[in-house]
Amino acid sequence: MNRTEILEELKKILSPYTVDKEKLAAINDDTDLIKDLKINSANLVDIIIDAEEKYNVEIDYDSAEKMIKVGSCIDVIAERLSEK
Amino acid sequence: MTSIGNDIIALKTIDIPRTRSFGFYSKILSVSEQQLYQEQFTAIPFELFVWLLWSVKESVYKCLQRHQPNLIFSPVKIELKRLIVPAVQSSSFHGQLANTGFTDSECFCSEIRLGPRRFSSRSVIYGDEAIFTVAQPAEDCHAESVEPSGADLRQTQADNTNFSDIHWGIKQINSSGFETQSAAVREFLLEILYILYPGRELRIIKNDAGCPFLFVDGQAVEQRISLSHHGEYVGYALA
Repeated sequence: MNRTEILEELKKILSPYTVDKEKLAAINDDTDLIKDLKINSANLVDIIIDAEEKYNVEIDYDSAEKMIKVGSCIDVIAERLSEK
Repeated sequence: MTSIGNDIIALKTIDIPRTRSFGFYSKILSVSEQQLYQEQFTAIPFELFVWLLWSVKESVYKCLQRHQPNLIFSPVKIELKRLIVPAVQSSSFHGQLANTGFTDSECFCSEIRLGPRRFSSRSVIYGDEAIFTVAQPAEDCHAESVEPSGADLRQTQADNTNFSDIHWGIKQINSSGFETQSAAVREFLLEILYILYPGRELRIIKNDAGCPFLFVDGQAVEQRISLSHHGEYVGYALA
């Protein structure tokens, strides 16, 4: 799975947690989940768990703390997928 | 370092089975905090303990973020060192509550560490509605001599950090949309700010990191403020 494919899947994961669907459709590596998509910080762990379930990977808390921008989310998911 | 942070959790929005899953809570609680729960705090429903600690850690993070805008929130590394459970349970706050100071017997008093830095917090759980927390840098904590596992942390005397001059408020609103939450919490905080600054032009402006600052007649002032919202609840702290 390449970065573009992960990005498209990530949009589906993020969708329940943001009301700004226009910004969600236009996300890129620099998009900040909290500042740009207005996702509540209390949902950040939900997003990580959803990603774990979607890709059947385990994301430890050291990696999870990096998942604040779309690009770093894709980095972490791609890294975990490559280890499978 | 002078700072303040607060957080509010809308309890009706939490996913209890998910919160109780290891994959979820292990990203919030450290191993020693998980042990601490098993050893001393099983009278508290586990999902409430997890979200109480989230609220405490998020509040501490907001304290730090004011001075370190690029700090990454890492809940597991912000560790609870001491927790005092309230003698009296709080019930509903009937839609809106604004107060000054905390009654220690009615709130969870916590001492928290992040590396060498120490913080103190006060949290209130309002029935099945909300968890509200205010944190600030600690003045005189007992955490130096207390280890989280093995020691009895259920002590009754709170630390000496002064919360008596902190104004705080929580309010239930009709929408969980971001824009509504954001406008409602500002309006709520401005109600008390206009009492403190009568006749002045007040603005609350967030910096690039998302930390709010108060501007009076166009000038930034030292007043410490913190905003929070989650679901249909908003909260503020002001010192």
